[in-house]
Amino acid sequence: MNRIKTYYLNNKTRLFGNHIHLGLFRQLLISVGLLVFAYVFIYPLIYTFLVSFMGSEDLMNPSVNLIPTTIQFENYKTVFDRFNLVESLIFSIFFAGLNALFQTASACITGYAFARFNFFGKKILLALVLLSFILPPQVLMTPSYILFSKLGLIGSVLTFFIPALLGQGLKSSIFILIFYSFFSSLPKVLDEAGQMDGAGPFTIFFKIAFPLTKPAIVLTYLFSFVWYWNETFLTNLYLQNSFTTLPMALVKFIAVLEGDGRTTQGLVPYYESVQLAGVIVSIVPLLIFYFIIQKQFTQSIEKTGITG
Amino acid sequence: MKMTRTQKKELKYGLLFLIPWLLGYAMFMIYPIFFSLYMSFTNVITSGSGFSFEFVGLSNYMHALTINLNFVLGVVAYLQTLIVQVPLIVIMSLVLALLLNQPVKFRSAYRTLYFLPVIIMSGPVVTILEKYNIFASFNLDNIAVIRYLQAIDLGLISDLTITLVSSISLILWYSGVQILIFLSALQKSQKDVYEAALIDGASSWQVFWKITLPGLKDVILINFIYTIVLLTTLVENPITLMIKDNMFNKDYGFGYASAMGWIYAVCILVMLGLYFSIIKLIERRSD
Repeated sequence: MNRIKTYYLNNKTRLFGNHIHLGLFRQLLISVGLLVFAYVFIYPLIYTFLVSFMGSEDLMNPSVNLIPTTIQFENYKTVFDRFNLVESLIFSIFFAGLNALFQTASACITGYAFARFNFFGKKILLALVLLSFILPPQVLMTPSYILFSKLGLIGSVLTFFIPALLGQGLKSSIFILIFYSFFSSLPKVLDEAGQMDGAGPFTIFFKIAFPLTKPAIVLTYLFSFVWYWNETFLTNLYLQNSFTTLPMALVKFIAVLEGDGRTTQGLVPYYESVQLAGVIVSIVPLLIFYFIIQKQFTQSIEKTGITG
Repeated sequence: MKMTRTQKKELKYGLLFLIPWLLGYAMFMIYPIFFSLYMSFTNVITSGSGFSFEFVGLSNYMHALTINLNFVLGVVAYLQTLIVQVPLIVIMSLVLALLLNQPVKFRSAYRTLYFLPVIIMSGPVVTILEKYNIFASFNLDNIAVIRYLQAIDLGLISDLTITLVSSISLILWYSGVQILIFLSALQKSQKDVYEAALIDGASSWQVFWKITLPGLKDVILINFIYTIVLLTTLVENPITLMIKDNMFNKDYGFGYASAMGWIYAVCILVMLGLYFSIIKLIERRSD
């Protein structure tokens, strides 16, 4: 009996842990929790992936839940035949890549101005940045549309490039605030050292501050890229039919399929699989992008101290 | 008031760096805000040569609020789902951040997975998956607890639980960024305070309520605001689509669409204010 007690006491920490190490028991409990949540997170994607291989028999058969009985590569063939893939992919890369570049540059200098210079009215201007964050874009889209059409820009990529360059791109205020808090956290001594050496504000910005902002630049560029990539509402409104991004092509592809598949009884069920195959094809480029740079993605938020 | 040389210099260079933003703000914020406000009181007639405006007073607003039932009901329904979803998203992201903050194995792998939906979520994919009920396809409706909750009807509590269970994947998909914001705040918090509390004999449960949670109150507020803004500005949100339809509708046009935009904006600002004051009130109570 005593031996069991000593054994228990000796291994208590290993099982239940202390305030520094998790014991085996808690390690297991938390891991199970995290795994369950991980499953719930990716379940919609797993489901979409599996259903995209189903034929109409499987979809109609209530006993087939997730695993297709026969794998239908036909679905993907339809997608590749009718989805405007290559052209829209190239345009999306160009469109999101450039917009994100412009947006990052303008947010960087704007955030720098707010963080490093003190002048009358700065607080008011910062409040205006916050206002543009909470004001819903639904208010602005009508007048912006009229403005662009007066300027003759509807159908041109300039409807996105100009606002991005002027710090008014998609959710620009978030990025300005990120750069603002990042530059504010850099020690001012660095600037003063530059001033001693006779460097002007532009030299200090480009030679001292800019090289230190890498985490904030990475964060802004990645988020901006993804948000521009996924934008379909404003691209439909401003670009209309002159250009098609990949997500726009997906929406069009699905609309065409629905037109084909609609019968008097409703939608032919087989089209669900083809539509979901289209979804899979359209998100593969983003997934590849994500898995290559996921470390920077998830760490950039922590590094920039978005909360500070 | 005379400015010193450094003050003058700061103003000069500050504004110089701000030129692009000031220009953009004037063009794409201030001008559209006033123009949209003006248009909401007019009837905009589009012709080949351009736009002409005819003042109609409040009739656009009256029409949107009293005649166009679809719009009013749509906004009310959307705000109702928001009131339920927003706290759930913030609470779930806090729970997941707390789990991820533990020193378990494969932490970065979980983080990668949890953050994955963020890159897909802002696009049209969510709408398509929602159309096929994929977020609700766990078939949890058959679970006894849910049926029981539906039967006894506890008001908000049942609503919250049912929404949580039936759309758990969707709620998790909306919480990626918030999880990382919580996580970075947790990792920055001072470890020595925790250790002191634990050595004094506090349980982890007490530490959470007395130290961790109060330390996160600013971040909780940030996440509430972020979540509300994220959901209300979603691309495929039903209200946005309704406004766009009216923009290009012959009978209504830009004036009416602007009025709808403003009504929606006021609703959202009121909701933001409400959440803000509720959170501040709770904070003051607990101090």
